[in-house]
Parts: sequence; C-alpha cells; structure tokens
Amino acid sequence: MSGRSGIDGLTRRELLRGGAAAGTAAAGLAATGTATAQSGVDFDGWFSDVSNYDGIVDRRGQDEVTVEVGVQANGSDWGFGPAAVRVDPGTTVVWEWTGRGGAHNVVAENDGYSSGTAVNEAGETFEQTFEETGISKYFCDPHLAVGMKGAIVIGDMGAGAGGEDGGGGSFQLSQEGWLLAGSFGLAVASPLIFAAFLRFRGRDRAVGPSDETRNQLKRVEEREGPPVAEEAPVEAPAQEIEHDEYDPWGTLSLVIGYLLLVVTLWVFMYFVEFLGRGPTVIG
Amino acid sequence: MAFVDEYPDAAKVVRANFGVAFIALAIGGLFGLIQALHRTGVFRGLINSTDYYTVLTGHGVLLALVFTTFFIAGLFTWGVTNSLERSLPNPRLTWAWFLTMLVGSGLAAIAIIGGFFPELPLSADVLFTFYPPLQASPVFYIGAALLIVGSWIAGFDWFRTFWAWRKDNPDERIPLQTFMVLTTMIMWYVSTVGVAIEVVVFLIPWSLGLISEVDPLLTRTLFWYFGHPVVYFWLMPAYFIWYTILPKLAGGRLVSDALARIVFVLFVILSTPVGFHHQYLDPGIPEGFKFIAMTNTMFLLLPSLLTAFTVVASMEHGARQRGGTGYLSWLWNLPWDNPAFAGSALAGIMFAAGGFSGMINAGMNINYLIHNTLWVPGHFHLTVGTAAALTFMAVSYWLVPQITGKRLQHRNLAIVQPYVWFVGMTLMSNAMHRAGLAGVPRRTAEPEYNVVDATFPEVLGGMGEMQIQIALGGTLLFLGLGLFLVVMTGTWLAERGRGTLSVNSHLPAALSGPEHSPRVLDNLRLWTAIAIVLILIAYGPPIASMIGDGVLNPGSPGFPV
Amino acid sequence: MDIHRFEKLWIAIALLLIIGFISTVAYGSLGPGVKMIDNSGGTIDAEEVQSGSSGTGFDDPGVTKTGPNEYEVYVKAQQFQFIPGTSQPIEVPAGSTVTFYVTASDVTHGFNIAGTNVNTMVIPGQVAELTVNFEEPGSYGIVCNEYCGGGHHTMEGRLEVVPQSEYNSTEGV
Repeated sequence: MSGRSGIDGLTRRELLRGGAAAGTAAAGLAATGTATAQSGVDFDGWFSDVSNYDGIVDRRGQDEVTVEVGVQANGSDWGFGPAAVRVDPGTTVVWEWTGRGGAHNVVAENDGYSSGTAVNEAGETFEQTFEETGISKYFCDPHLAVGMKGAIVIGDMGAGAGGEDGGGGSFQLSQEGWLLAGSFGLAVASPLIFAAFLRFRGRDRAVGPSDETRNQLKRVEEREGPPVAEEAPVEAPAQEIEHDEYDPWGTLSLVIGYLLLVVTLWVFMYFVEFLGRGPTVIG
Repeated sequence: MAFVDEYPDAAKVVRANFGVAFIALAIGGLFGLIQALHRTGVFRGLINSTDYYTVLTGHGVLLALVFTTFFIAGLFTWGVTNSLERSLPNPRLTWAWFLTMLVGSGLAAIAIIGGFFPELPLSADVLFTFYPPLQASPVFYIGAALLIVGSWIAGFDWFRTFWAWRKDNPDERIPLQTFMVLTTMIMWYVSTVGVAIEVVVFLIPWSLGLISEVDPLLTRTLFWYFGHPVVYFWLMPAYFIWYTILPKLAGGRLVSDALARIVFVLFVILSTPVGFHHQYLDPGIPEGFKFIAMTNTMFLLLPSLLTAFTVVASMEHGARQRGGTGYLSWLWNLPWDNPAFAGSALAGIMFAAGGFSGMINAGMNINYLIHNTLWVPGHFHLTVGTAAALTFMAVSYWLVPQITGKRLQHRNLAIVQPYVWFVGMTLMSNAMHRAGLAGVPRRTAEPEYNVVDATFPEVLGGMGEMQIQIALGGTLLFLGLGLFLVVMTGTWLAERGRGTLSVNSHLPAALSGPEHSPRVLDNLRLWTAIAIVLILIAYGPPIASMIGDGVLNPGSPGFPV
Repeated sequence: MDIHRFEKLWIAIALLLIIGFISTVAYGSLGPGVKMIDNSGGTIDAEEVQSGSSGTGFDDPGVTKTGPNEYEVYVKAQQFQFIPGTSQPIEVPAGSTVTFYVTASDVTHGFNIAGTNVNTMVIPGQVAELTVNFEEPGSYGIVCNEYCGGGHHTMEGRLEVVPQSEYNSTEGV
C-alpha cells in the first residue's frame, strides 16, 4: 500500500465529505442525535454513506472475531460484514476475503494497521489484535469513495441502556433524500411560482380588459362561440429583392472569414497541441 | 386564423409533447446546475460524489433523449400538419405513440431517480451511454426501448399523413417541411435499429438474468451505431427551423429550396456509417474501419457547411429587404429584439464554434489528444446544448402562441433569455474545451487527483479560472432556462382571445423554389438504399468479426450499479 | 437548379477543406507514425483476468524487459485501481520503448497518461496494445477517464520514467 497516495487520498476525501456533511448537518441534526443516543457510540459521520451499517454487532466474550471483506453493500460487493462490531479488549479480529467485488484491503483510518496492497483472492486473511478500549475505524482503499468502511468498538464504551441497534444510517439517508426531493420539487416549481407571481401582482390585470369589456366579450362568445385567435398581420418587406438581383456578399465574407479561422485553428491544434505534445502512441 | 383553431386536434398533440419536453428540460437543467457546481468544487453540499453519477445520468437522459424527442415530436407534428394542410389521420394512433413515449420516459426517469435511494432496488447510474457490463435495473432499459418504439410509431403516423396527401396530390413536390420530417425519420429508423438490438436482444434479457453475459465491445458498437446519428436527430430539426422559419423571422426568404433538400439527403446517406469515430480509441476494431468512418464523418461536414452558407444568405436577404446595406453592416438590420430570431441566430453562431471542435473530434489520430476529456462535453453543449436546445426554445416563442392561441407573455424576459444563454454557454464551453486540452477528464465528480494534478500542463489562466468560468456559465445557463420556463408557463396560463397574437404563421416561398430543384431529390427510396449500402460497407466486416467468436463472447457478467 | 455562383465557390472550398483534413490525419499516420489502437492485442476472458488464471501476463501484471531498451507492461484495470499503477507506480527507464497491454477485469475503464497523447479505452474482453517511446525522465499521472462506478473519480495511478542509470533493469514491478 503506497503511503503517499493512500493517505493523501483519505485526507482530501474526508475533507470533502466533511463539507458535504456540513451541508446536511442542519437538517440531519436530530437524526444524528438519535443515532448517537441509540448506539451509544459517536462515529462522527463515519457510517453516513455506508449502506450495510446496521448498528454495532456485539461479539464480546470471544477471543477471535471474523469480519468478511467483500459483502453485498454499497451497490456491489463493497462492504465489510458486519460493518461495526463490538469486541472485548485483547480480541483478535480476523478479516477474511470473500473474493467478491474486486480487490480489497483493510486500512486503518489512523494508519495504525494495513493489510497492504488490495487483493481479490477468496480466503485471504489479515488479522489485528486490539488491546486498548476505544474505536478503530478502517476502510478499503479502492472502494473508500463508495462507502466500504468499517469500525471495531473495543470495550464497553457507550454500551448498556438504549440497545445496540441504532438505525441511524438509514434514517439519515432518507432525511437527506427528503431534503433532495424537496429542493428538486421547489426548484422545478419555481418558474411556476414566479409566473404566478407576475400574473397576479396586478400589472397584467391593469392592462387587461375592463369588467365591461369582459362582459361584452362574454356576450359575444355566447352568440358566436369561443374566440378565434387571430394572427398578427403579415408585414410586407421594405423592399422586395428577387433571386436574380441578390448577391450575398456579406455571407461570402462571413464564410470566408470562418474558413480562415477554422484552418488556422486546425493547424494549431494538430501540429502544436497534438503532434507537439509527447509521448504519443506509435504502435 | 391561428393553428390552434385550424387544427385543434393537432394543436393539442403538439401542446402535450411540448409540455412533457419542458418538464424534462426543467429537471434536466437543474441537474446540470448541480453538476456544474459540484464538479468545479463550488458547492458540494447537496449530493455526495457517488450520487453525482445519478445526477449525470438524469441530466443526459432527460435532456438528450426525453426533452429532444418530445420537442421534436411536437415540432414535426406541427410541421407535417402545417405544410400538408391536413390533420394526422387517426387520433388514437397519435395518442398511442405519445403515451408509449411517455410511459417509457417515466420508467427510465423512475429508474434513474431510484439511484438516490440506496434502500430501493432501482438504479440506473450508467450514464447516457449505458456501457455494459455496468448494469442498470431492467426498468431503465425497458423505458428506453419504449421511448424509441413510441418515436417509431410517431414516424409512421407522419408517413401515413404524407401517403394520404400523396394520393390526393400525385404530381406535386413534397412540401419542404414534410420532406425534412420524412428524411429525418428515415435516418432515425435506420440508425435506431442498432440501439434497439442492443437493448432488446442483449441488455433487457441480461438485466433480467435470462442470459448471463454480454460482449461489451459488441454492445458499445451497437450503441455508437445509433449514438452518432442521434446527434443528427437533434440537429436536423434545428436545421428544419433554420431553413424554413428563420429566414421569415429575419424578414427574408430561403435562398434555395434545392440546397435544403440536398443537405437533408446527405444526412440520410452519411449520418450512420460514422459511428466508429466515437470508438477511435477502442481496442478490437481494425484501424482501416476507423479510417473509413473518418472519411464519412469528414464528408458529413459538407451538409453543415452548405447550411452555414444558405442560412446566413437567407438572413442577409432578410436584412437587405429590411433596408440593410454594406458588406457586414446589414447585420444591424436583423431583428435582434425578436426572441425567436435572436435565439435561433445565436444558436447558429454557437454551432459554428461547435462545428470546429467537431472537426477535431472527427480527426482520427488527433482523438488521442481529446478523447474522454472535458473537451467533448464542451463540444456537445454547443451542438445539442445550444444549436438544438436554444433553437428549440427560440422557436417556442413563435410557435407556442400559435398552438395555444395565447399572446406571448413576459416578452421582456423572452428578449433577454437567448443572450443570457449565449453568455452562459460562451463561458462554460470555452473553459471546458481548454480544460479538456489540458487533459482534464469528463464524467468525473471530482476532477482533482492526488498524483495527477501536477502533471496537467500549465494552461492559460490556470485550472481555477476554468473552474470558475464553468460554474458561472452553468449558473447563467440555469438562469436562462428559468427565464424560458417563466415565459412559457406565463403564456400557457394566459387567457385566450385577448387581442391578436404577436406572431403570424406565414412562411414565404423560397427565392429559388422546388420547381427549380431536381425531382430525384424526392426519391426517398433511392437515398435509403444508398444509406444502407454505405452502412453495410462500414459496419458489415467489423460486426461480423465481433460476432465471429460467438454473439456473447468475449462475455462479461453484469456489474449492477 | 439555381445555385448562386458564390455558393458554388463555397462548395468547392468546403470540399477542399474536407480533403485537407483527411490529408492531415493521413500525414499524422505516415509521417510522425501515430498509430491507432486496434485489434492487435486480441481478446481475453475477463473472468479469467479477474481470477488470475488467464495464462497471460495479466496473471502477474507488471513491467518486463523484452530487449535492449524494450519493455512490456501489463496493466490490469479494475474498480477502482490500476494494477500496477495505483498501489505502486509503474517504473520504466528513460530512452526506452514501452508496450502497454491493458485490459479490464470487471467493467469498462479508461487509461490516460495525463497530459500526453497516450490514451485508450479499456474494455473487458479486449486487450489494448500501445507502444510508446519515453525519451525524457519524468513523472506522470494515470487517469481512468471512463465512468466505471461510484468511486470512478478516485481511480488514478502513477508512471515514473526514471533515468537509465537509476533503473534496476533486472526486475519488473
């Protein structure tokens, strides 16, 4: 695992994700609060884009705990199963590759451990023993962007009243969905609202027919049927120019100008931008 | 008497099609704004970067397929009825194709929107090109197929109207507007065969699990068999407007009926055997066939270059009839304050620029420079995004009053709208072209990379300047779209019968009319046959070699998105 | 048929322009020798590439020396990485002729050495073969420029062209 690209990648993406989270923070505040209260552990938004996060699975009391790498999640086999587990201090976590969803690896968010280059052989394992109480977040480098993330909760922190199954992830998502749908609806309707505003603010009415005229029109309509839309009159040109007396000099100048421009740009694009820039495929 | 009273049934069909088109335009345009702000990093709060591709799929499908197809269906229904002076023969058939297209579009839209909700089993984040083995929900493919089938029935409806007219007028020349509708539809039938086979024979059974694998190269070749002619399906209706309506709006007459027909015949012949120019960098296709596609593509420049001359000369004719003089000072005599004229003319100017980047795209080996970079969307936002879309919006200012019988409302907003679009597109498109030359890829939520940025060569003004132009341009375009929708909704909701309309439907005859154009041009069978022969030459051997090792081989299982 | 003499002139010019464009492209092929990606790489079973049992260089992708100053590089593209390229850079010496063989084990990808003319589609079942001369030492980014799934924007790699003297020619990656 290349330190440079992996770590830079994480930092930058997390920053961006932070920005995205801030955008929905206001609306999602209540939801996040609920999630924290229910699961008892604050993952700080780590699981907000992880589709298979379904609370913390309690595996306390075991010396060795297995997490599958490459389970159905996030639109393909891009998940850890289970995404979050609770273990006792001193437990060894064994990650076992399913061989599905392409090549994966396990990389700690804080750089504490890494399984190295992503691989896709089924049965591959990687293990790590967790001694200290706390939360260890990790991800798969190639599939971080699509939400292949997990966490190990070590010890009893936040456990107890309230239960373990916080449905925070899905609730927050639907909240986001509503926000999205609401903004779309509003934006699509905005021209209508604006048109209605223009129509009813009174100006149009002022130039429209008076009540008397309306009544008059109504009477006409009753007598003669609905109004027929009349077209604007056809305007005769100021001067008629026939085929034989018309030489499009202006058009000729314009198209010749266009031709010169195109030829110049073509030469520049082909010989300077393209052939002047190597390397190029030669076989 | 306006169209709405003369052909009330046809007017209703046109209104229904335009209505759907404008709704798709509103949603697709909003998606465009979200993308412009997201990928430039100006605002990423609304969606996360994975959902960017859902938005991108929606933008492409809603604008390039749904908006265009419905608008064109409305426009052509008007064109056929108006130029043949008769209604479509069977209202039930007409509403059947409209409903088929509507249901298809609805299904595709639902599948795409489903991508926002991971808890739903629907998703179609496969972008406009839906390359397998990325796999969408079957609902998406079925929707796309229905939209195409609906458009086929629509074409049949127009052909039937024409055949009925022909029976009554055995010796007359096909009226120009109908001629353009029919040639466009012939091209559409010939080219949609590719995507129909791709979707119906391969993708629907594959997404339903009936077959386990498809050949990614074969399916993308079938897509591009359709994928280039589809741009002419967007463009030929814009040409229809430029040839038959724009000269009148300019105050003049079309210079030559014969040249207009020649241009459309060239499109029938050359539009399809060029698809490989989208696959210049595909492995598995011999270089010789790429070269054949290139020469065909280059000759396809001819009808567009001819159009540039004929349409500009027709506008110049108008300007001179309005008292214009000099080599170029007649340009000031054009009615730049008439939104229908200004929109169409500005769209034409942008198309000249888009034409140049298209010439680069057509050049075979120079494709290494710009393939899949931001240059490509920069190009097609000038062509389909302006030459077609802005022309369609502009002609709506002229046509919607006639199909509703209502005066155009908010005329002041309509007058500035084309200019807002023009400025927005100038900013966005030039920056996209230059970013593409620097190597910035298209179709990405975050064009920043950890190791790559340093190696994008220095470009004029730098990356930041280009990002800002794209974001600002995208915002202006959305504003322009909003103005258009305000004018349209206002007009739609206005009262009928309040004074006369501000437009008339009179279309003056061409300076050199159909009596001077060779009759062979109207021989549609001949041109169709030539088109098919050229397609067999360009596509026969490569497709034969792709299916030589088995239709589904080398196969790929689906990767659901 | 009335065609104005100006328009006849324009048709002639337009045809010359078209022929000029085609000739330029032909010159690019014959003069500087720019070659298009074609079917020379052959086909391959994507699932065997995935499982590493294709019996080709893609089972152990990397750089191999095939002659004096000649190298072969097998690159496997998959969601969302180049192997090699992403986890460790591809290293080749300056002044060498390098033939890349690129294929995909899952969906369609792109392979573009950023800022250069080295650019190809990577289609499952097809092998893209590209020969490139690297004259000068330098460091290049590799971008996947075709949408390949939700993490597409993170798919990138690195190519290092190192001076001859620093290159350890006996081993690949």
